[in-house]
Order: sequence, then C-alpha cells, then structure tokens
Amino acid sequence: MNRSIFAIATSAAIVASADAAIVAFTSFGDWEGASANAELALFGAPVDSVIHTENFNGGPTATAPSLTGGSSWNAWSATATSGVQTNGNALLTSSAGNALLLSFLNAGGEPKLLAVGGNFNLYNTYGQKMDGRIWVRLANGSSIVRNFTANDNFVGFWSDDLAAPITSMRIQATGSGSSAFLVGVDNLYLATVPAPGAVALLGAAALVGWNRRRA
Amino acid sequence: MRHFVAVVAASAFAGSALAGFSGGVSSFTSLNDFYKIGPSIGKWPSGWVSYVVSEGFSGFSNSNSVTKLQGGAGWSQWVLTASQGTMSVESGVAIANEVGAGLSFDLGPALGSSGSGLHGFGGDFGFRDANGKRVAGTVELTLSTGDALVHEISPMNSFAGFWSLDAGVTITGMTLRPLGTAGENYRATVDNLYFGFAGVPAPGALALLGMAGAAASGKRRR
Repeated sequence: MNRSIFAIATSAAIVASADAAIVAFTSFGDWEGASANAELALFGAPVDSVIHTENFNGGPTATAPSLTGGSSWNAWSATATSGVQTNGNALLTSSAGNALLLSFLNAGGEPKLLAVGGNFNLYNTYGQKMDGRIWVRLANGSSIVRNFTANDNFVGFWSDDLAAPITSMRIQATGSGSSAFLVGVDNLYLATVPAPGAVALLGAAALVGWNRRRA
Repeated sequence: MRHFVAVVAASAFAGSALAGFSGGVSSFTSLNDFYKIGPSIGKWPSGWVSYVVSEGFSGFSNSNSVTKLQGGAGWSQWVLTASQGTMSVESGVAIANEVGAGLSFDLGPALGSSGSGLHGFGGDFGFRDANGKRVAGTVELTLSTGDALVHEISPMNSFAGFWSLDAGVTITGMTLRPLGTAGENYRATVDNLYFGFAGVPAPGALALLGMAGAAASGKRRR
C-alpha cells in the first residue's frame, strides 16, 4: 500500500528558516525536489528528502469512521463527517459535500513531517472522477484553491521551518455545486528531511572520511 | 483601472468543524477563482465588503527603459520595480530587461487596526525568450506574509495570486522570482494586476454600490 524512498542527505548543514513559512506547489516535480533545490533554499543548504507515498491500492471499500496508515513520522489518519472509504485505489469521503480531514500523528516526534502533497479529485456519486474546484488547507492557515482535472490534480506544501511540522490537512470541494461531490486523494505524498542531529552526524562522518583520505 | 464588485456581507465560515483551519493565506491559480472564491472564503467581520479592481498598464506609454512603474491610490497603490536593471513597457505589458531578474511589487499601506485594505493580490505573469516570444516557466511568488507559491505559468495559464483570509492581515508586497530555466534564459513579464479589497466600505464606495444596486434593480424591472 505504500513505499518509502530514502535519499542520502547531500548537505551537512541545514538550518531553520528565520522567517518560517509555507510554500505551496502545483507541480509534483517541483514539490518532490524542493528541499534539494538550491534556488529555493528551503533550509538554507540543499538537503534531500525522504518521501513516503500512500497509493491506497487495495484499501477497504466499506465506509469506516476513519482509516489510518503509515508509521512514525508518516503516520496518518483520515476522517470525514459521514465516514471514509477507498474505491480500491483512492481514498474518498463516503458522502457528497463532506470535507476530508487528514491528521498526521507524529507531529511531536523526530523527524517531523515537513511536506505533504497529493493527487486530488472530485468524484460523483457513481465514483467517476469529475473536474472541479478543491480547497486544500493546512491547519496553520495556508491553503490553495485550484480547479482539478484528471491530468492536472497535484497540490503540495512544504514547511521551511524544521520546528514547524504539518499537523493536518483539510480537502473540500468549493464553489458552485460543490456539495454534489465526494472528494478524494489518489496518491498521498508525505516528506521529511533528516533531523538536524542526524544531518550533523552525516556531516561529521563525511568530514572524518575526508580527513582519513587526506592522511 | 477597471472595477469589479463582488460584495460579501459577512464571514462565510463558522463552526467547530473548521476549528484550526480558518484564516491564513490562500493561493489561487485561476483568475475566475480569485474573483469569486477569494472574497467569499475570507473570514471577514460582519459589515465588510470585498471586491477586486484591476490594472492593465494601458495608461503607460511604450518605453525601453523605466526604473519603476507605479499607480493606484490608497489601499490599491502599487510600485513595480525589477530586482536587477530596468524594465520595458510594450503594449501594456511590463517586461524586465535583464534575463532572470525578478519583479517586486510594493503594495498598498498596511491600514489601521480595522484591517480594511488590500487582502487580495494577483497578476497575469509570464516570460519572454530572446526573440520576444511568450514562453512557459516556473515562478516563485512570495507574499509579504511569508506565504509562497511555486507555480508553472504559461501563455495560456498566466494567472497566480493570493488572498489573505484574516481580517487583520493585509498585503503590503509581493516578489516574483523566476526559477530554473526561466531564471537562466527568460525575461519576466506582468500583464495585468488584480487588487482585492476587503474591509469597511468608504462612504463613497457605499454610494457607488447603492447606485449599482439601483441600476441593476431597474434593469430587472424593465
């Protein structure tokens, strides 16, 4: 149901941003490479991220009050007023007009969840994907309103503050006729970067190795 | 400057189900949504109105070298500069003259404690290649609140903007930074600016809204 990708940190020094903020992305490629992007410099120096993907394949198709998944820093829980379910490959609200709430359960632990993204869609009550407007919000207030289609349905966020994890996200249809649709997420992407201590260790190890080669 | 009015009389959202999710800053990639959704999802106090005005640079003569452009008044005042070098104006489009230069928008003053003022800001942004052709590219837009949007814009999909949904937080600036290929090869452009007001309407604005309402009523009755 999920996969994790770990990439070795490329930098030994990442720092918390002095002016912490949330950056929104509309392209998976831009989101995926954001922490290692020297131009964006989310954490000062580039650092590779660890990305965990939930694709919901084979998930339960019966309505449940909540669904959970992941573990440790990528643990999540999904709820909606009238319950949630999957259609075998996407997580959905069980009733039209409901918002989908994703809570991230390891907010206080290390490493912290610093980025979330997903392929979001509206569905009609027959389970067919529909083009439409979705408002994706983080609990800290940052949000984006987009018109989602089958081919253009990604939105993601990064917190550039190592001490300010993302704790929850609400996905809801908005605009005219929005109450007629279910909302769903096809792929949920969760990301972190190594905790500062781990990065410092990697940096120290690299320095020792470098000194040995020079000796 | 063109004016479009979308009156929102009161806060659109309430209730414990949305606790922790109110306010903040929302990004928009559709001009239609900026006009219609932005004003309607703001957490405005009762009695506030919200509307959008636009600036198309049509009042500016063509020029090959200007250090800044400015316009508007009060809450909608703006000053546009390039992060490096000068700008050109070509047929209502402001263009940075240096490849990779960003654009900086100093916007309406932070107004009094009421929070009335500039709550929405967006534009039609783009890039020109060495031949002057419109091309797609990635921008980072950073608002004065610190919120940012990384978005791929193209000639067919050029709009990006923000609404501050908190009554007490107005927008005082925004920067545009070309990223990747765009930052290395293209010149940034801006075609139209859109200013979203939310707040207590000035007496003149109320009269204008009243006249617009009366005119609309008259049309419906005929």
